[in-house]
Amino acid sequence: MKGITVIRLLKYIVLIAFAILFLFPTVWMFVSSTKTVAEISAEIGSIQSFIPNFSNMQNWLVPYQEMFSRFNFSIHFFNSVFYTFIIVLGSLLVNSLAGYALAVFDVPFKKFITSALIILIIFPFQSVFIQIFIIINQWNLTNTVWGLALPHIGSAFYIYLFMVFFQKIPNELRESAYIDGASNWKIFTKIVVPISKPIFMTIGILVFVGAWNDYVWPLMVFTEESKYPLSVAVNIMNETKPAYLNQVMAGLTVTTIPILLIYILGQKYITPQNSSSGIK
Amino acid sequence: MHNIKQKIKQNKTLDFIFSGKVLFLLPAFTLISIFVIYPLILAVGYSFTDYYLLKPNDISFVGFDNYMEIAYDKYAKKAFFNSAKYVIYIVPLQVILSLFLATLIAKKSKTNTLFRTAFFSPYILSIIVVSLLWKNILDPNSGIVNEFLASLGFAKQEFFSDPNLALPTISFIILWQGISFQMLILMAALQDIPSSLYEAASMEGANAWQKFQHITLPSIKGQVVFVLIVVTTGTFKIIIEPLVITNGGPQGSTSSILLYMFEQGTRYRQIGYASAITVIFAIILIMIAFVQRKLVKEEGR
Repeated sequence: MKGITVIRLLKYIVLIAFAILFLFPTVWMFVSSTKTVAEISAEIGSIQSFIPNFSNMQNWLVPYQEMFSRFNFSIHFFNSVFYTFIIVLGSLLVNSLAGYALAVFDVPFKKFITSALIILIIFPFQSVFIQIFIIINQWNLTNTVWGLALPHIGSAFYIYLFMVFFQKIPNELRESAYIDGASNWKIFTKIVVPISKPIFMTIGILVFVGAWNDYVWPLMVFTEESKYPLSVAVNIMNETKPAYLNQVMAGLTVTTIPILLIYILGQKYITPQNSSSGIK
Repeated sequence: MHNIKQKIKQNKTLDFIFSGKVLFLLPAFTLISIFVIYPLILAVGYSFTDYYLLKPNDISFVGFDNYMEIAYDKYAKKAFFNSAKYVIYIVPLQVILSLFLATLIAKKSKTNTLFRTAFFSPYILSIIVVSLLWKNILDPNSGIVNEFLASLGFAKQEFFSDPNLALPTISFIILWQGISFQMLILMAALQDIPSSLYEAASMEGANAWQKFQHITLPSIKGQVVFVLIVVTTGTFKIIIEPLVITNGGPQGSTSSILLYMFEQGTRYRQIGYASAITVIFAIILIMIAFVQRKLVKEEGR
């Protein structure tokens, strides 16, 4: 029995060591965003730097106020919300319709289209962003939300995920409505969409997180600083001298909070099964 | 009139178009043609030209010159080599560590839920946040890690400006964030293994390692292959971390294929040259997909 206790103890030591490794940067980020620069540098390297200063709670938000006024942060926050909203809405609409058509209708060359889609999944956006930039540039869409959003909306992968989901919906549900004279559009919006909430949520969350975190493409599309999303703005903030660590950490925290909320609210739609099943 | 309608109904393609069903497919079809297929064709076409972004009317055909140039370009070779290094540093460690942690916390219990949350926490940070956070944490002058090392009596490390240290450091940062999600996938797979299998093995006197080897590994092989493929493709796509943390330096030692392509295309505006890199990158992606198909097929047997 003694051997087993030692192994258990060892196991917990390993687990706690990894927990610290995974948690300490995020904790430090949150805690540092509530302190003054002087406090941060005085406590650096000590355990104190991971503990918020509870005697000074009324000043916790001061770095946030400073950062918002110094960098026009609310504009970038609004930009990110706006861009993400457009991309999520567009992506859900366009890809669900295509997935539905391939799952249900008698599409000509269906086999060919479906295999072409699967092949296209191999090539992610990043592999051709230089060429996409040339197209956007020729169409004078740089510095516009369309230049940013349009290339991100149509996705072979999401069409495929929608298709697989819609194929599982029993035919009878649609057919009875069809006999009653409902149009294809009505059947889709009134019958199919309401019972397909899980797939819309899962893909919506994936698209939201991807769009919110996008960095390289906005950097290419936008040259006007007022149009930058948060991701680009926080990097500029970190590089603008003098960089105050508490303000930088406040910026990183503000960038993270919407994602945190999305994951908490959509917890049950983000399961490993959801994300891995589409590939196989 | 009725006759025409009848004819349309009989022809699959015409019916698809005139019944309006085509409108369901059209938006996605248009966007994917313009922003996925057309760019791929452009990349192949441009790669045989000397297209310079600011002179779009002065393009000439140069044959395989761009591809030859890549072979002689010291920094291009470095970028390709670095991407291979990232794969070697990150992929095996990430798969092994996520499997290791998943095994430790797969059993459903309250303490394990706590550990799971802790291990998953890096996943909610975006790549840009992770990059900037670690850039500050590992800062040679004011970073907490170097302060900690100094307080223990060690020398401060130039994590990002030492050419020998920069790429392993960035690999570590990517690993730090990447483990979480792969761990969850493997954990879900572990939880699906029926416990009766383990009980039967215990009765026959199998030890922990034998159980792992003969029950656990074969049961989750499919998910391990999946994780392996996802991590490998993901590692080839690295761009944000080196761009934000070191800008590919020092001396190109952290640059990746995509980062080099991005620099050639945007900073130097050599679209022809960047396109040749795109084509080679696409070939690498096709090769990975090919290996994936083979592995998945074998798994299915």
